Amino acid sequence: MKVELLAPAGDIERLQVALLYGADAVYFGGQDYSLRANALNFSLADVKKATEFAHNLGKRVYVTVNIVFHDKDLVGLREYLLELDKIGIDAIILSDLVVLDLAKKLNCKFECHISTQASILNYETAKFYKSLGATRIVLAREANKKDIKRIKEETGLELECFIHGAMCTSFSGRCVMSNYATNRDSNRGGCAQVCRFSFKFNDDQEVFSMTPKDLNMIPYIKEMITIGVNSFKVEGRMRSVYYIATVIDAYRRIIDMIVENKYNNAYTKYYLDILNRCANRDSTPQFFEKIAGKDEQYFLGRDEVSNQDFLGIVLKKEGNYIILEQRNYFKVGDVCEFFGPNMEPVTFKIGEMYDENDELIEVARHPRMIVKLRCDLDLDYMTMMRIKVFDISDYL
Amino acid sequence: MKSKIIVNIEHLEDIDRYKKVGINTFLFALKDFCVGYENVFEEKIINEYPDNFVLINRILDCDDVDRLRGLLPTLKVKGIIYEDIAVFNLVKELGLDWELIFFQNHVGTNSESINFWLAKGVDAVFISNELTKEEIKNISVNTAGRVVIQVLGYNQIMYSRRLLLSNYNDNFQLPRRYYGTIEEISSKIKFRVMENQDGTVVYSEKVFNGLELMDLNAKYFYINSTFLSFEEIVNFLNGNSKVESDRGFLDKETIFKLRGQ
Repeated sequence: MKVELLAPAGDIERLQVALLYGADAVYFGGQDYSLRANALNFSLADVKKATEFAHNLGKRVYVTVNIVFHDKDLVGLREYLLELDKIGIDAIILSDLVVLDLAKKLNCKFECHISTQASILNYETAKFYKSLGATRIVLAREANKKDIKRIKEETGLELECFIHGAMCTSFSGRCVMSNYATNRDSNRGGCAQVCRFSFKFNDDQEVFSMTPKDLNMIPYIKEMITIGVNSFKVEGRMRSVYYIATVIDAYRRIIDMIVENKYNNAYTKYYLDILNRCANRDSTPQFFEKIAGKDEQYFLGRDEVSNQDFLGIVLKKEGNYIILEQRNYFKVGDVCEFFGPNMEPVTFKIGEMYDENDELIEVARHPRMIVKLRCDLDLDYMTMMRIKVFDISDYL
Repeated sequence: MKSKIIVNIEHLEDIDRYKKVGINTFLFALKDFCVGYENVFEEKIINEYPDNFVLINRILDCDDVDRLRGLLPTLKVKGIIYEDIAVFNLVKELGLDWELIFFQNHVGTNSESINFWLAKGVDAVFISNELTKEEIKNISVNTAGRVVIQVLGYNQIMYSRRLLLSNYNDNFQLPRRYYGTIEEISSKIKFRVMENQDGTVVYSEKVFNGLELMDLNAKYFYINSTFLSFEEIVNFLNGNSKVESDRGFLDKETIFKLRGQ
């Protein structure tokens, strides 16, 4: 199979952004049985709409059915799987074997992918799941390149690896700190992320957290393709449309350049700067080359104040104007940048600007206000406008 | 009922003492393949106590699997308690006639998944400790008692590949410590933490006392003796312990969807 870029989708808008910005497939949870129990998630009607949208673009949808089930949670699972099958989704992502077993007994046509919650780091475990009919393994985030390569060689399975986003402190699925500290069941989607709280150790004076820095595999994408990774997965079903657009846009371009043999290290630096600014967090490759150590964690003083880089999203073009939904303050004279699918980033200085009553304005200050900007550029629906910070020409 | 108890061994001299109180089945954590246990044992020591169980509770990488393929046939044990499914495959591949007990922390939470494993040839499956007594009872009934129920000990509640204590000590340039207690600042909730070269395990602050579960139908009842002395365990069994304990989630159901969602 060709290299797949797999994006999270917390709702229909983010799903559309992810696919339009270059994801080959998206994953999301239904309103039950998903590990983001407190995200918006998708009703069955949403799943149908999402599947049709993706399939019309020639892309794929995967539905997470990845909680660890208690007996009472099993009520309705059979009907749910049959509904997903009827809709025609491409795969489910599961960790509890009861789901795999049931999907096979029901002769569901969708593929079964084994979630990272199963914590797979070796070929024998992967072979076991293959013997049950799984077609793809989402490896544990702790997998290093040696193990990824070996698992591919020994099993021939499709391998999916996380390349970007938040990490668990623990092996995913092997933590119930949330249950003990907040009574929220982490393995049924209620994780309160207690590991990110502040702690003291014994009688020491130091205050610390166990928070991992984000994962970021930009420097290693080429190597991951070489050792046999099939699907490159971005974490973040609860992230913003801007985050999704920025991250997916970056990885889409990186993967395409690698495949076309046009990639060089200047792009690595450029996209690392873009993505680190977008997330407001430090990021590292974590376990790919070594056991993640102290430099892969935050202990103190993590500054995660949101920036206001995301200025707006293009709704449509009307003659020499674009209609834009404002997301952060901007004013006449600001230098910004448009980026979007099917276009190279374009620098733009804000000039003539109107509100939705066609009143000339100097400042767009109201969240989500509709703004009309004079602009001769041809910009598609969902093109994003951001503050201009980095320019690729400075890196090349 | 004591005949159904499995207790992990921290100190070899405790074995005869356990036998004197009617506990005869022991679990040995295998060196290099376990996390979260104070003492681990090499193959030659384990083989001096045949007809017991060996524990492999690490999540294994490919090199571990290769090494275990050679090591497992040399062990003289009655059975194996394991976390990683690779062990199941290896035992089958090697034709070892052992009792297979699947112990993936936090995962044995429903009857159907456990029955799936039993149908695959596993002899018993650990029930998760984050369930209510009613849920545990239902699973016990639905699986014909082919389960292991943890009845006493500190609960393992997190397993990380990261060396969290070493990282902390390195970051703040403090002396190396591999065991201690962490306290969450705002809630004052405490957890015990233990690290070895293969990772870090976080334990509950208090001893889980679920000895009342020994009324249920199970193949074995497990006592995790980590951080507990022989005397403390016997006191619990005799109902006269003074060590602080709780009943975990036996009568407290966890939630996962917040109000209004």
